[in-house]
Amino acid sequence: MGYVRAVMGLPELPLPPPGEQASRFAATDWSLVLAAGGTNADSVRPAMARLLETYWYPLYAFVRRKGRNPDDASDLTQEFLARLVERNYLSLADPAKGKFRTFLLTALERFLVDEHRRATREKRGGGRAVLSLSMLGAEDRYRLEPADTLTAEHLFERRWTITLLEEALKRLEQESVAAGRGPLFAALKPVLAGEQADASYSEIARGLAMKEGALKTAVHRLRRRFAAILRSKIAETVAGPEEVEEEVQHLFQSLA
Amino acid sequence: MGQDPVLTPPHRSCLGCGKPLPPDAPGGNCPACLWKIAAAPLEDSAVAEEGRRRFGDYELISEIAHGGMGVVWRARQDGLDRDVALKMILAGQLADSTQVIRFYTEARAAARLDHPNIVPLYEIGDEDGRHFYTMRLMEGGSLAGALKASRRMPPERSARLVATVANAVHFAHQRGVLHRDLKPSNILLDAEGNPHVADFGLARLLDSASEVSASGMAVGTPAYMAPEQASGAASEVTSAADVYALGAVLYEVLTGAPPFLAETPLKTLRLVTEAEPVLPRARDPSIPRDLEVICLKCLQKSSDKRYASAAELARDLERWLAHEPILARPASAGERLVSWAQRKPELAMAFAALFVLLAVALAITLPLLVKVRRESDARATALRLEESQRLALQSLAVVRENPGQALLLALEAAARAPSLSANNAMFTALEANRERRRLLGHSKMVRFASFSPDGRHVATASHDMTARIWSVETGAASVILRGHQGTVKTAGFSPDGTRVLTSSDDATARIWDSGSGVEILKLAGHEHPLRSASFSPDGTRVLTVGQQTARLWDARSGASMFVIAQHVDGVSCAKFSPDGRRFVTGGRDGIAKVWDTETGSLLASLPGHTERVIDVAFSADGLLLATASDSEARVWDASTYEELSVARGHAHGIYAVALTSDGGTLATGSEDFTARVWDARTGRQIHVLPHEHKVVSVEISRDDELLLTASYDNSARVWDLESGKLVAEMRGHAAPLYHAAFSPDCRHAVTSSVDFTARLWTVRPSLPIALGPWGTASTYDADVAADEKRVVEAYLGLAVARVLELESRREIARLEGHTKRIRTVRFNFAGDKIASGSEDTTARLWDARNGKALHTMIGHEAAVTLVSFSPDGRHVLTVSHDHSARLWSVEDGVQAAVYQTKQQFRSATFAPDSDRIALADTSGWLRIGRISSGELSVFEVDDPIVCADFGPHEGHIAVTLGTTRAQIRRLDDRSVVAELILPARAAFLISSPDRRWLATLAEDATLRLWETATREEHVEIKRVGGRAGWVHFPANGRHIVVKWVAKGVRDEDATYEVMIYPLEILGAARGAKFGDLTPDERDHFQVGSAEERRAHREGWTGGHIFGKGAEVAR
Repeated sequence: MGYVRAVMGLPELPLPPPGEQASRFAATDWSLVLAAGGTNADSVRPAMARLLETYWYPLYAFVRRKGRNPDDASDLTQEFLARLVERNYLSLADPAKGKFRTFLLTALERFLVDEHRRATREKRGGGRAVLSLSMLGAEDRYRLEPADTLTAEHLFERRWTITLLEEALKRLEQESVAAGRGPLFAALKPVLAGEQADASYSEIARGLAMKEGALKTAVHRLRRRFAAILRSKIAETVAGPEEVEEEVQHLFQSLA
Repeated sequence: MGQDPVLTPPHRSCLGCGKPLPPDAPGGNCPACLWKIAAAPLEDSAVAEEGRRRFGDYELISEIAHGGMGVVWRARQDGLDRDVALKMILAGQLADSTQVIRFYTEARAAARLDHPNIVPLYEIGDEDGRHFYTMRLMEGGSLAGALKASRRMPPERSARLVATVANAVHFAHQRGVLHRDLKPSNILLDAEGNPHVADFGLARLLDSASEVSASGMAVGTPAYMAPEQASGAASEVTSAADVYALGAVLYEVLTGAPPFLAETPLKTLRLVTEAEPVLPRARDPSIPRDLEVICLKCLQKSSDKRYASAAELARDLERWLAHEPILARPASAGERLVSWAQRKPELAMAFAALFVLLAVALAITLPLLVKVRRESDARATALRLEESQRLALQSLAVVRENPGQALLLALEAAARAPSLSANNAMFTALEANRERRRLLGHSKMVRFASFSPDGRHVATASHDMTARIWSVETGAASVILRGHQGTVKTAGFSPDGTRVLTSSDDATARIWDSGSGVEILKLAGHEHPLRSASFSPDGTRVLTVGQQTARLWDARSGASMFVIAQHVDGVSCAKFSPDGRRFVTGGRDGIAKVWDTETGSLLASLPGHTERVIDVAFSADGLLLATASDSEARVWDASTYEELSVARGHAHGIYAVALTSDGGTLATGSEDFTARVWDARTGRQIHVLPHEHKVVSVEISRDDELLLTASYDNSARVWDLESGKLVAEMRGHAAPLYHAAFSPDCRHAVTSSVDFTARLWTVRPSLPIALGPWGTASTYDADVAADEKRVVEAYLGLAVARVLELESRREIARLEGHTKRIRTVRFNFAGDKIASGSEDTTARLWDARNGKALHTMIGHEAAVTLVSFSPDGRHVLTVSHDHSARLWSVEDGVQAAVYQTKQQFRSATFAPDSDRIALADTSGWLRIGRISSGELSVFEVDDPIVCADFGPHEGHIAVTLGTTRAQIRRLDDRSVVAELILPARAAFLISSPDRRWLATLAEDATLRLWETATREEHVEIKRVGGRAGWVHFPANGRHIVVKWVAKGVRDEDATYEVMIYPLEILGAARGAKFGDLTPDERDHFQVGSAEERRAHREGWTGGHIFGKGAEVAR
């Protein structure tokens, strides 16, 4: 088997330093999209579409806050998404500043400017759906947005953050249900964020016929998992692991 | 996707920060507070949590340590006034049941160790799905911690410490427990600084689990791993590995650093297997020379050069402490070099070759790689490479325990990036792996598995109340036999293969149609669960064994013929004689009885055993009979029913017996963890064959060469019956085996296991073989016989060819008679004749068995360069430098036809019908001839044809053009059916005898193998720094013979390498799809992103090890 050994004797490709291994960064959706280098290959589309299906609402909110009426905002968002998926908008993405969030916003702003110019020349040709998105309810949702205090950019970021939280929560719920801990999750969901008085913990524990100690352990476990999921969700939208931390801190500001 | 807004009453405020809750609060939680959970560093937030302070019956006091495997707490058990160390295994770490079972097995073994320097284990358990164990709390922390503070220790203290640890380790070894991961962090210190060894057998298990856990980190630190562990060699890791690790610890306490440490685990692994450690005294000359010698003796690469036991190491250290002479002797520098070359002879040779021949490398590129999208972005490539390397490391980490899983992981690695590490892992796994198919689908334990008479199917019997029939080729269940109301105990084919007989706990045996799975007959009458059922050798009778009775049935009508109820307390086993005219029953009363199949009358009673007769076996010639009971087996003359011998020696009960076909040798498997081989006629014990647990089944191969044993130690093993040597070890099952059986040709085996799977294995794996020179003459041409056991070789410059045994390279015959150099040799399809072509202008026919010359075919006027047999063996086609090809009759050696061309013929091949021939010449003309009619026509296409062969389908011909294209064209209208695009000019092309493969040789020195059904390229083999000479498929259809020209152009100054590659290994490499990683395994090893894994799980219908989700698969 000399040949096998011979191969082993050749220089080894370097592994990343140990510190980087610890936070191994899987090829996430966004890094896949970025990696395609704007070729918009067929293989990239699903990844792009998956991301857009999750994060379309912040875009809608942004367009609305820019002063478009609900119908226009819906059309424009759809049109924008369609172009992202179909056309080579990826050339706008700068891998050096590779957050999906900033890319989307830049692209959308440019799109709105172009659209405005075109609209003055010709009538835009109706919304066309490439993603199976339902814009239904978007406006109902938008009505709940804080009325006046936020700029469109700020609102976009806030929506983005909330979307991330919702997605993470949804995933946590799926996991809990899959593990047969649906009822536990349902009971703990409202208290996930905050410290609770012992009284309310004991109340919940009684309802679930659990010991209070066990319940606290469960809360803790759930929080840890939630944090992990949230970080993995963020990781999907940035280009490298080193950016996750930055994004966590940045988006926290949007909630202030 | 869009979600309904969560409407929360606006007046509520957050209990955490006091701010009002916004209307869009996710799940009613304050977004900012929710975000804070993620914003806080994960670990720190954990420690402060109130809810964490309790864990089952324990109060958690403070965190002592946390690492890859989990968190260690100082904890207090309720009601007990003592603090313990509680090791919590990270959630999900033992996700797969294999790991859980191993964890508990190891922990129980470790808990039995009662030694003052072994940290006692108190409790093992799980709390809310989280596994943990508690042990004595050590106040002094770990040796690793101590070393961090002081870097190293004075020599006396070092010696005393390691001696103490070595004595403790020896104590464990004597009780059969290996540590497997000794290192400073597993050596804990008490308040006085005395060392105590922790985590016997567990640390390695958990570390190997943790390396694939959440972080996706690779192997922890291989710095203390013995080379045999590090290389993942299939050889068993023994106490010698712990002795090595003790040496590594000694090295570190003396010098302040482990013997090998590189920037990456993989590099460290390679150093461990390949490099010699820096001498301790080179790091610090003040280290006493004798301690250095002791240390290096532990660190010997070859385990038999280390101390024979940890106790011997301890004694030598104690001698040094007492200022007595030590026993270890230093190795000279010369010895060290020599030992390196001995250790890695192939490697040493390969390195030499690197200098002499520029490079010798072989790369197998998988088709999967081709599919991987071309990506310009370096980052994505790097990400893929990183994942590939991680998977490759994981593959190396599991290869010893589970080579099949390792291979699947290596293939996943290769699919992500064609990295060198993936290649390494793949070859390591291919070398170790014998698993060929995972038969996934049963939802409970698989009790029994057996092959169909043609070897193409396997029947399995399971606790899930079904029996299944599987295709050996695809590993898919073709039929599920449903109807039994209880566990199915056995499932076996009828001698003609058309029916399957099952026996069940529901007290019935049933006969099914093996093709359709339709139940044909139900044999009901027993009142208790059945133990087994078997067909008579002619298939007309069925013998069933219940608890009280054995019964004989008519296999056609299902009528009950005889009920054997004459055993006191009932029967325990029964078998037909090989001729089917008798059968023997073994009773719980210790008596075996022989019966006449026709009349049902008792022929003989064989008394002697005092306990129940648990198994009986006839020799294939029907002359001898063996019975087993308790710890002894008896052999009887099956005609006189005299007792011939008693085999005594097993320490505990025997489970199974088998006899060789002539009855000369007896094999037994026992609960004393051994199988034994005996002289059947004298009862003399010949071999003791070890397993690590009970041996529950034994089977002897039909050719009487091999013994197959199955054990509760999760492995099956194949032994050479004569020498007692281990031929093959089949590892991969996650739980004990019930049974193992050979395929009819004894090349494969099937095992059935508690882990809900049955698996197919290759008994003798095929590895590439390089045909070495004969004396100084290098091999120039070769062919493998259809039986795959013989090879015929022609040598550069010699007029003699030889027939050799392929494996042993023992010479069988010499072909002597040619007067000049032999250019080519070929076997006929039957393997009994050989044709040769020589520069003496003759071709000759030889008897392959004895080398006798049969015919000399005279007619050519120049060197004969090619010979080829027609598939039917009646003709030989020869090609010569005289610009002709000639057809000869094999029977009398007479020339039947001559085909002339202006140039030389480059290739001459037969169609499978043995009638048509294809002749391509060097000027680009292809002629198709028909032997029966004598017609010869030109097959003309636009481009010159370089080479041609028939197939892959009837009416097609494959050709290479003078370009980078090869084509498959129709013979009738010459239209192109398919085109194969190569990266370089295709010179040579040939079809495999079964037309399944097409091999091309191109000018890039690369052999490519194409699967004709899909026309996809499957494997390429590249000879770096050389060029391809030719390629040839031997008649057996299982190998490919390739001649590489290492250097030089003309024969006189060229160097040739003739390699035989088994198609099997290439097939395995091209996807090894003997199975796929199950979703559990994918999660466990984090193969792919979470999304991909989820999608894979949802789309998965392949069944599961340990049956999780098996209902889905039904």
